[in-house]
Amino acid sequence: MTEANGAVTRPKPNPLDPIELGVLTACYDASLRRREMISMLADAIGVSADEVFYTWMMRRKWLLDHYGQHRRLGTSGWAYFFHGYECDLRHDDGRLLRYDFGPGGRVDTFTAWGVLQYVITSMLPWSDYSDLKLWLRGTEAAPARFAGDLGKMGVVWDTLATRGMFQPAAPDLVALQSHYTSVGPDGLTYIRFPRETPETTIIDCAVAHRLVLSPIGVRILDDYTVAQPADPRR
Amino acid sequence: MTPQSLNVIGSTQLEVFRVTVDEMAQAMTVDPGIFWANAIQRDGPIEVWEINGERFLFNGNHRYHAAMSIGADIPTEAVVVVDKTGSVIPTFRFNQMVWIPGRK
Repeated sequence: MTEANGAVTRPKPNPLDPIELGVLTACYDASLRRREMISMLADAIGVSADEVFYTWMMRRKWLLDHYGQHRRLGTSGWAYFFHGYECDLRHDDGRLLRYDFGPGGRVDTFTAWGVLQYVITSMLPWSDYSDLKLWLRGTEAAPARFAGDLGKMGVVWDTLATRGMFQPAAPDLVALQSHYTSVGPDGLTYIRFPRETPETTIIDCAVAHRLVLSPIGVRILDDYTVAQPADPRR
Repeated sequence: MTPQSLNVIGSTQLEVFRVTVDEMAQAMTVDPGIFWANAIQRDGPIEVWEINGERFLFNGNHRYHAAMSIGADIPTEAVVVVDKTGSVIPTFRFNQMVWIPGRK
């Protein structure tokens, strides 16, 4: 769009409501935390930061023999717990940061459940998310990390997704896995890649659907930051 | 389908947490539909790796054991079987697995 004076302007998308903006901010915030913390996790298992995911997936015997599936990180108060295609970092104060790893071991990927756990357990020195916590908390008594209501989160999540705030980390790999996926006569879903497919490709395909912020999502956060005197993402 | 009909003989993880299994079994009893929908959204489907003709749990260990413990069915849409022939990931037969008293 071009204004009368020739300046190019971007059309303004409809604003998000405070809860939607809070969840979108938390997606970004949690990604920052994961980037901050990955070195500590990597050091704890004796690999470089970009090798953490593949070490768990492909060098598991070595990892289990030397460090274990779960372990405290010295006197930091943090402990890691690898499971599935994920790793939880848990602090003694209750904070939980979940790595929903993406292709290549990237750590900016997220899921609704991981972001919900981050919000519900977050506290100083991280963001407190007081209002968001109140809104997302479930009614049942549960340990803090399970206290978020996935149904409530899902409503916000679907709105953000519909408005284009997220995108899959690697759509090409999602399509590749889909090509080799079929439903058997027993009703189960089978994934069978050709024999020559590299192990890293198969692993990357398994997490390729995980989400990252889209350019629209990043722009919304940028616009909001510009409009605020203090950066709510810090 | 029954957990047994998946023909899984073990897992790629050594440990299972008793309280987590019991809590999942309880939730499965109260409302299986909600349990499985939430479980898939949280942690993805139960993923079974087929390694050289034998099946091992890669993801969803606690859900599988919860279903086993109460004789509940597992929805077919909650299971993915991945051909991992040649994988060198460590595997543990069910009778080798270590049951830990607490929560995952």
